[in-house]
Amino acid sequence: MWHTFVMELKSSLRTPAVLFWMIAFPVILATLIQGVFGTIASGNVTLEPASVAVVSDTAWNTSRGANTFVNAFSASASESSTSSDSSTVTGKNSAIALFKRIDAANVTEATTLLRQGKVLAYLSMQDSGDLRLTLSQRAATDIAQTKSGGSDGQAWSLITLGTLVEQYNERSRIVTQAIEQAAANDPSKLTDSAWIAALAGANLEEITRQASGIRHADGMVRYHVAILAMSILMAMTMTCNMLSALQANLSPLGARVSVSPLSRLARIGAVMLSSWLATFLCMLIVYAYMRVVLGVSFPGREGLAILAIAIGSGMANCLGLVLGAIPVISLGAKSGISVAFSLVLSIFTGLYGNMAFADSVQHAVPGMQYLNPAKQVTNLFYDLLYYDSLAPFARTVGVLAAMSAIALGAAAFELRKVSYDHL
Amino acid sequence: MNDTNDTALNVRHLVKRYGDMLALDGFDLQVRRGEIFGLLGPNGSGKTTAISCILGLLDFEAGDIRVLGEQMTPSAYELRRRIGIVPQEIAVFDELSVEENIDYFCSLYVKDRKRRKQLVDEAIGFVGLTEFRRYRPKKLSGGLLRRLNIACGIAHRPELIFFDEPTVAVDPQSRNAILEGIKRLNREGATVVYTSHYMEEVELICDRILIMDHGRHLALGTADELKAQIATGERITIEAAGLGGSVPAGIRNLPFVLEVKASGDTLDIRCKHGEHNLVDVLDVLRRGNIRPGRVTSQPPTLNDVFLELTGTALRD
Repeated sequence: MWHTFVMELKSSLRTPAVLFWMIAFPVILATLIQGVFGTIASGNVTLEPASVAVVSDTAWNTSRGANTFVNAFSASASESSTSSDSSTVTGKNSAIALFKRIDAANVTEATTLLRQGKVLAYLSMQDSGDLRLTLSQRAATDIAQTKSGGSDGQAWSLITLGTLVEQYNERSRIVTQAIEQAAANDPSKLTDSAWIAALAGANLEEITRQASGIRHADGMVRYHVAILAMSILMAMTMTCNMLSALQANLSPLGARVSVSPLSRLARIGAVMLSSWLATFLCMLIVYAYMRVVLGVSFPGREGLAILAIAIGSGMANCLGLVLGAIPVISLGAKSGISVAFSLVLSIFTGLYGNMAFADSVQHAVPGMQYLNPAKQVTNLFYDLLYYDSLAPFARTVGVLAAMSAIALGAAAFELRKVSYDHL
Repeated sequence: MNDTNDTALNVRHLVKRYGDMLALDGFDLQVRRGEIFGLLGPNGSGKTTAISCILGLLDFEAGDIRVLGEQMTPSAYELRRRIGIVPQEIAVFDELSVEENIDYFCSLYVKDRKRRKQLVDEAIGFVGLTEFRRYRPKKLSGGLLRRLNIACGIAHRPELIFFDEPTVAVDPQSRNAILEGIKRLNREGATVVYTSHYMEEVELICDRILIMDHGRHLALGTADELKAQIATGERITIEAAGLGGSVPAGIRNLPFVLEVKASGDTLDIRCKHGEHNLVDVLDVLRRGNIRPGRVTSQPPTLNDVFLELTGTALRD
């Protein structure tokens, strides 16, 4: 088994496709993403409060949460005008001030202010209970330019405000749903002021990210973590190919090895061990590049990040094993399936630049994300990045271990029943 | 044949089904130690299935297989150490060099590193790949690849070696080298089971030949014994001007003639076994006032034996 392990390791590390997909591709992608989105995290952008009208009509006044939200991120026009340094302006609740609040009695007045250029946007409350941010033409243009690499502080403030408004609306819907469910299932909760307060409090607390126990990390790290997760999943293809090469029913090479005195268990063990080590080594190179060249770091938890790579690699290898063990699919089709699997699941980690989409899916369909191995691998790293406690990390390790165990079981079942068709 | 020390391989009443299809129908095979044994059959005749069962790659419904005197089972690892296999398709690792490939396959059988080094060097020399030992398979020609494929199967010095069409798609020089190598292995003590579609190769190197079809044993013997078992005893070819008219019909009427094919100025006559066939055919020509330009008479070939026993219908 040892010799087979060494040979498999040597063979896989000399395979151009492995080196490309598991080292070159993630390194190139990480470099490109750093180039495209790096301005957000580079520190070159100074958020500058933009003038935003707030439509304080009846709908607004009856919505307690909206006003709290606005207070958290705004400074009144008079407050902000006293400061010469925009970056020092803070909101009333000590969160950073993203906008200067100018009150308008109704939407018509706010639209007039917008047209006169006195404000860049206005916030209003919809009948549905959603907050809406309406931009002026100028603001929309500034935002479009800024998103493609600009550093306009006011535009960045409006971009951030837009994202926060989306988050607020999502959270509000969750709270509304929770209240509706309580009304249907347990109306006694509706009289529980502590429960109601907890719901409302949690809503704003999450948005403003002031909860204790949460660490703060460079936003770019999320993209790099998503790349790591995708690359780790790419290891499925390698394991699948290695297993096929040693299976008598799938390749002549497998037939040749199968007639030797090497037991099937030893063959599978060698494949697992060597594919895991090859994946781990490739990912270490990618991680080292991200760490040294791109400055991605897990402060104080570098060792655990390497452990996360090792755990994620093992899970991907188990998935590759189960795919490789399926006897009726050709090797080419299996490779295609595993690559497609990695790329598609990575959409839900925000890999392709749409973190808001990944977050929305996480909120809307948490169960699906729970079953997504790419997402779980990213969670391993997020747990290290965002939480002081290691409990979330341990929980995600458990999820990945369960996934690996199920995959191993399925692979063992498939491998047990295979019949060999050609010599 | 009883399962004695003289028997390398003894297969009795082997039955194997793929669903409703009967692939082996009470197949029997006995191979003596030290011989080169040819296993012939058309595509789909059951050769590969039989060998897969013998090597423990396939389960079978009924029958008994003893290899080198021992029962072959999926976990008969010590027995497997004594067997070598050279598959028809090239079965090597593309990312490993010639030497690494041979060393790897040898390591599956031989654990001692020093002994293995010696065996690998010998195998490389045996197939003439010394100057290519650092090459990767992708850089080797078809003939060199075939030789590497053979080296991977024989490096551990097996007592019984299966060669499955080892000369497919190689040039005559490489083919000769491969056949010479197989004969040399046999001289050094290995028992060889050889399957091929090249009849002349089988006739050239095999001591005994078994022809099988539809999962059954059809005929067994030396090449001469097999030739004696078929109706065709001789092929006479005549080239002469004016072969039309009554001559072909006259030849066809001879009692020993099985078949006459006329093509322009050439007659191809397939005859039964007989001592005076050629004299009688020439007598018909003389009576028809035909002066032959060229006359040849050939004994039957293994190809005739094969076609006569298995038929001429195309197979998959």
